[in-house]
Amino acid sequence: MKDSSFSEGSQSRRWNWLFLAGIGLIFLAWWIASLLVHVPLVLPSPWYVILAFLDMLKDGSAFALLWSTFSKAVVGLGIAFAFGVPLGMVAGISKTADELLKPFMMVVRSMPVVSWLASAILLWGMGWMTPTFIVAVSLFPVVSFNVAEGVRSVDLLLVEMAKVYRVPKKRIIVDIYLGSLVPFVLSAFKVSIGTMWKVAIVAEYLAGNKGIGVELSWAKFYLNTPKVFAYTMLAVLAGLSLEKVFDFLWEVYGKRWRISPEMH
Amino acid sequence: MGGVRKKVADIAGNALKIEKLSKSYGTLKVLDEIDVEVKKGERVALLGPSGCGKTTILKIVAGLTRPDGGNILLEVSKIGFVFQEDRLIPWKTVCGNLEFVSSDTHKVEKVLKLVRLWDYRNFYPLQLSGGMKQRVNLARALLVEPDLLLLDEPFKGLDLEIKAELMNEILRMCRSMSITALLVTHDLREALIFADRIYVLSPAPARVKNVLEIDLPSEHRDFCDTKLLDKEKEVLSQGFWLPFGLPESPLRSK
Ligand SMILES: Nc1ncnc2c1ncn2[C@@H]1O[C@H](COP(=O)(O)OP(=O)(O)O)[C@@H](O)[C@H]1O
Ligand SMILES: [Mg+2]
Repeated sequence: MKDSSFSEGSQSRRWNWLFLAGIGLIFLAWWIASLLVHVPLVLPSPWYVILAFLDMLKDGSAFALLWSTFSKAVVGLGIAFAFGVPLGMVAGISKTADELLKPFMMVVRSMPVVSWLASAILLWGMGWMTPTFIVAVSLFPVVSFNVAEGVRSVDLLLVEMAKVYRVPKKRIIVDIYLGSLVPFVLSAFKVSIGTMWKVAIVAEYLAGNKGIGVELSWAKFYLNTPKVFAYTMLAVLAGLSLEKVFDFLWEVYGKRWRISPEMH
Repeated sequence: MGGVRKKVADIAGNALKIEKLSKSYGTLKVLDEIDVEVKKGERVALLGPSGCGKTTILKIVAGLTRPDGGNILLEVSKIGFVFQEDRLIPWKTVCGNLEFVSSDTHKVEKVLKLVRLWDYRNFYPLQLSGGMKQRVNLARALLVEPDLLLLDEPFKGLDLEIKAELMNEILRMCRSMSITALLVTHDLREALIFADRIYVLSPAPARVKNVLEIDLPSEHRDFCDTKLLDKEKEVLSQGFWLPFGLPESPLRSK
């Protein structure tokens, strides 16, 4: 019954300070590097970038861009889960299905984004569909792989216990199978929300008509390097905050799924 | 071949009758024509060394594994199983684990108070000690109001003090609800304290080597009782004993 959560509060506060200090360090290094390089077109000073960033916030364009990219990323994520979860479950339950699906999964996983793009552009052109699709195919293997692992990790002793007590099948599936899937699905989710931004922005950059990626490509076209950096900063901040929000929710609600190291 | 497990209306006062039970896992023969009778309201122990097939017997009785040969006749229908491992669902609380088995919250409350875990109802398994987890395991088995309680080494890995406490608890429940119980153990003293009759099993393939009737009054059924220790000595001196060591027995050095 040892519980380390008492000291966790002050510990995490300490990490928060270190985190902020780390961010300060990035800016410091960046500033010094920009002074050394001394070609603003290649590496602008952080101050210009921050000014460009603040401009974006002031005229509200940042939020529209964020929303545009975010919505594509999230829809892509949703599609990846909608297909990845059932497929992962099938692969986890049946060895045959797993072997049968393996080549397909390997192809999907190792196919370069640009190859998907080529066909996607032909199908849907430069719109929101293409980036969404690219996000979906990039995340799908991660999701299905994690879910399959989760299904395989189900404790069969618990299933046997349920059979002794004649627990209805539906309950066994919901409380034991889905319950033991939760940490795997969440970890897939965490990896996915980290990658979905990057993928969405690349796809927009190459085949979008709106969003951070598109603006990035225009800023680059006009050699507006501070703006390129400002968009990058926007993307990084958005990605980080989303991960932080997720971590916080996991901290609060995920406790019971964490197996303590003392147990095994 | 293929054994039979079936429910019957009457087996001459028995709750459970195991006849010529045999079982192999592939080429490994674990059970060899086991005969066991458990009368209604009686407490019986199967005593045998680790790996001799005790868990397999209980799993066959519970209908989790098919026998290769022999008959399992059951007069009872509701079985409670106290598993060797606690088999608690890690992401459910104590209460949630019990409600997984029965949705009757009144019964859950009653049974948790019975094993004195009501104050811990909202704890998760990893917050509990080994003894507490075994008590949840026991509570879950009692929750279904079993006609037959199967206990698979419920004291394994517990300190003597906790073991004695849990033993008293189990005996108290069995007596007050006159539960028919079948205990599996590798510990002679546990078997002596618990059972009205002990079946001594050989190492795998398990065979019934001996049947001991134990007519100890309930007040002597305790880990440190002298009468019980005398009984233990008597059993040991009968000389048919024992292919395996006796952990924790002070008599071993003699
Ligand atoms: N499902 C199984 N498949 C193959 N071998 C098994 C299986 N279950 C148990 N065994 C083997 O059968 C023997 C008896 O096991 P078990 O009934 O668990 O013994 P005990 O409970 O007396 O320790 C052991 O050697 C064990 O390894
Ligand atoms: Mg066993």
